[in-house]
Amino acid sequence: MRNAWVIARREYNHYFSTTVSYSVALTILFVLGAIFFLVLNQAIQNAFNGGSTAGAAVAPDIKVIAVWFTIMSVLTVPALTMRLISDENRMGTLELLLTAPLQDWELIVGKWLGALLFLLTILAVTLVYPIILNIYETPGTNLQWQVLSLIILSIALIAMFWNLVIGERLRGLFILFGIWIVAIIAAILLYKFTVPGIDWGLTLSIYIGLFLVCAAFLAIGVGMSSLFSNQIAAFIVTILAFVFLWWILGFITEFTQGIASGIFGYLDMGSHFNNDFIAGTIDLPDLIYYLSLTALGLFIGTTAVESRRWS
Amino acid sequence: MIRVENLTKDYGSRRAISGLNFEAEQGEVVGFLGPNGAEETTTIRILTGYMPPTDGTAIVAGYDVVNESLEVRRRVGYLPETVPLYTDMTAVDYLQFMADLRHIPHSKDRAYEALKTVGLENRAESYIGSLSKGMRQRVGLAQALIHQPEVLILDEPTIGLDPAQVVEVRNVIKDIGKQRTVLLSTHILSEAQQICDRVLIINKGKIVAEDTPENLQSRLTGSERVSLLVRGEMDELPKVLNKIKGVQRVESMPNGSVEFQFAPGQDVRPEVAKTVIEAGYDLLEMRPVGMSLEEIFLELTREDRPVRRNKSRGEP
Repeated sequence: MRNAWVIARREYNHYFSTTVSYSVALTILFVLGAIFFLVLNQAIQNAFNGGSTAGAAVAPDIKVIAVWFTIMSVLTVPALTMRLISDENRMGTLELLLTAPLQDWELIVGKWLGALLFLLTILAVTLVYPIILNIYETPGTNLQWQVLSLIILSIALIAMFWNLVIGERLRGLFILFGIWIVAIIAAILLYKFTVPGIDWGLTLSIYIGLFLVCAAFLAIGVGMSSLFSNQIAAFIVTILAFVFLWWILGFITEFTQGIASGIFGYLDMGSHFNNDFIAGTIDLPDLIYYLSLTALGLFIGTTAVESRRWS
Repeated sequence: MIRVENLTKDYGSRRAISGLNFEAEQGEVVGFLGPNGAEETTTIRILTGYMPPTDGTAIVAGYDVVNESLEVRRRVGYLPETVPLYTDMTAVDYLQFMADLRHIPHSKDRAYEALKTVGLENRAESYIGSLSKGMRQRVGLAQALIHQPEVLILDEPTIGLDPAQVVEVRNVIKDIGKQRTVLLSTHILSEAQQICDRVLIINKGKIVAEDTPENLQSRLTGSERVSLLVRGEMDELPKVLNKIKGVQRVESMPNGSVEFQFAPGQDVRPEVAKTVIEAGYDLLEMRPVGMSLEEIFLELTREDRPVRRNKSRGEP
């Protein structure tokens, strides 16, 4: 595992020296920001008008952001994973790693972990949205605490990015872990001692779902990357696999009946997230689904690297 | 220590290496010499645990390359032919990364030490992408040396270096070879001659000759050949020479000299000098002509040539 961590750290570092990863981060955060603005704007307008066309005015929640994060992941994660193994192969550095004393699975897990840490870095920024929503939905109550938490989170995020960009990657990672740990504890506490505001149990469930979806996407991406020597080929196949798993299987489910529908429904990657995690329920089948998909991706990657030795 | 027995590798239906046998002891620099496509790289990749052989065994640093691959990889320093480097990292970061993978404590200090060994300590903070080809080659070498391996395997280590750097790198390799086992492949014959204690000439996945560079030369010719340059009646000279006992295979060369040879141990040169002068010639020059390693190499790797060797090795 120590070797996997060494690989993961290098990979995480690498993301901060390529333009592809910066543009992925920018795209995701820009789209999410725009969507969040529109959602808030719409909610305020509806409240002002005394209701929307669909009925009474509803308080916005984090669901829209989560859905858009998954959509953006489908479209951008392939760009993060495409070069992980294929580029090592092209540059000849795979030979270096395969003759170093590390197991093939450690290499694959390390690559996956590095990419996961990068995606968690982007996801950490989205933690500002639930806090802002909470401020809007409980006007007056504990305002000073909410603003304070927003300020603390912002400072933590700025400190994290500052350290990451100037090259103190370990310190940046440390802050990243800190942000996530504090956020999870805070969400649990807020859920226990509910005050008027957004549903923190739901928020926690959504973020756990997002984490599992990211883990599965990245594992599939690493697996695909190890099958190709060409990044572009890896990108295209990965994005096709994601679109198939996330959307097309859903369509197939709708047009089939009986057992077939059940099977396709279970294989449909989107339904587990969009039906369960986003509704605040975490079921064992959903957990098993995403974890086994992650394991499958990592297994494909390991097998592909091993088979290179035998060719 | 490297011991290879009956090593065979097939790529699909093509047999790349067939029945390779050789050994390399500690404190020895062994050179792998062969034309392009002689499968030295394949052999090296098997020895470093990159790919398994189809048949046969290879023991490196006391461990089997197939069953104890990780143990072998811990003890081998390897510089592949392509010099794999991460161009987006600084030289010292790259070496630290490699040291971390090998669980070396104080990896950063060790990275600086390794850079010092190859004379790059002043470029430690430079991005590898901005280094010249020779410098990159040396960073690659530093990577192979960073864990002070028992066995060092280098695939064409001096390619792309300028003459001064070549000398430096060769000295580094020679130094390491005093205590450790070094196996290097090269196409440069003079390099093999200079730094290797033993040369293995391989062609098409088979060893065609194995000996010290000096022995290879004398063994192949099997006799000593001398070039003679005189002034006088040239047409008569071969006749004069042929009369001398022990002189064999007299040939007139296009440049006006005459070459002849004699069996080792029966030095006929004083007799030849005397006879030539007594016959009225002016003796201008008499020198031995050894076969260069280049000629040996070409001779040995020629397709139709029967192999002449002391011991029979690696022959099907």
